[in-house]
Amino acid sequence: MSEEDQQVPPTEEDVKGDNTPINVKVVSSSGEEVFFKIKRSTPLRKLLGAYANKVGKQEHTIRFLYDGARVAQTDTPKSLEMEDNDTIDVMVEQVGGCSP
Amino acid sequence: MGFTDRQPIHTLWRTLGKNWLDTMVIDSALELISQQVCSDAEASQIIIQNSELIAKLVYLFGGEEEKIAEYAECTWVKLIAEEIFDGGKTLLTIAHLGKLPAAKGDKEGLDHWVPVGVDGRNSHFLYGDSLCGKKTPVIPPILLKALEAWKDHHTFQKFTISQMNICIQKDNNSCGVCAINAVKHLARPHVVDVVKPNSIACARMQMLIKIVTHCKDSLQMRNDSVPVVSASEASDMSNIEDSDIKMSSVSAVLDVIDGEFTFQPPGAKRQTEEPGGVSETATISGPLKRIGSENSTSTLGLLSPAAKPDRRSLAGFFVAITPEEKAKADKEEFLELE
Repeated sequence: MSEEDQQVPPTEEDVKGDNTPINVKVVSSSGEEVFFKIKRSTPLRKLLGAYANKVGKQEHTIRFLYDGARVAQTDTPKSLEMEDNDTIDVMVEQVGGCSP
Repeated sequence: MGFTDRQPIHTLWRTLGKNWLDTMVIDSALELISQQVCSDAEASQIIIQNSELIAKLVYLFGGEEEKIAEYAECTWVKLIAEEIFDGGKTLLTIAHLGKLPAAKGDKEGLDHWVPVGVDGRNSHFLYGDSLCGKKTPVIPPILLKALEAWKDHHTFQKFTISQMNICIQKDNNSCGVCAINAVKHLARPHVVDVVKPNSIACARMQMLIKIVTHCKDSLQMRNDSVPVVSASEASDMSNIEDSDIKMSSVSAVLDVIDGEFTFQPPGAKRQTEEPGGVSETATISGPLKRIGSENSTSTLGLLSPAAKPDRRSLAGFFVAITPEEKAKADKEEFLELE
């Protein structure tokens, strides 16, 4: 077998690399969009912090949803298998008890 | 913690006492119900969804103009719709009425949790309100409009409004507990009864015990290095009923009440901040620095070497950019934080 035959073609993951930045759209509950560029290995906690800073809210008052599921602070784009130009929904933390 | 968002357990402090419940508690309880439903053959037609679904539907369909294009991209909402309107399943969730006024003239609604459902098989919108007493609850117009419009995208069937069985609260703090109980009852009526008003405190404590037990079991499994939860374990975990409260669970609750979080895995960093505080490894500080036009309100970026920020700021992790700058930013070198 020749040396050329032993060469394995690079996979898509190899080409992309683990840390290739992707673009992420963060959409608030009122429809405002903010675009971020984030590494695949970066915890989304940092994105949450940046977004909160951007919109002038405290981190604990908002939360991220990806594909309808709550995003953990330790989740990364890689762990959630996010793709370029994916959307993250922002939801505002609510409190309720109500007086009769 | 054992839930999807893996928040530390102290974020559930509102479960204690007479505190109003927040989204964190409501969604954690809904997640538990969802797991119980998954292991119950008699509840196979039930879908439990977190409270954000209603907020998303109201955003998409509750305004003056429906956001059709955005709905087309919102795969998870469409999948739920297919299960309901095509598969005949029943969706159950809880909505917050803060942005859903009861009358058209009102600007805001109450800080109030209510159970909401969509029964695809019997063509019902399900709604309950723990404040309504013997009166028939009225769905806020915006919520009804959103549900109707969502339904119209998938079926021409006419839906009617059906009232959910729910405990009537006689205090000013337990609408969340009542709403959770109503969802549990509708999902598994053969297992869970509607709680009585004088038993709400007990129901609240049982909910906390279940949540803590779930967290404890999850952490034990993690510490035992079990990579995958077996079917039997998952079944055991999700079959915890009101009558199955163990002594270990009760002591766990007492520990939490005393302010001690005994379920931290060995070697894990202990969370010491107040609820909602910045996590222990947060490195973000200071304002984001603007680049580009001063008039560009949405321009926010740290890519440019000229605008290189403090090392503890956000550069290297991500930047926020306008769509116009996105293509330009793609060409620039992505800075890494050392």
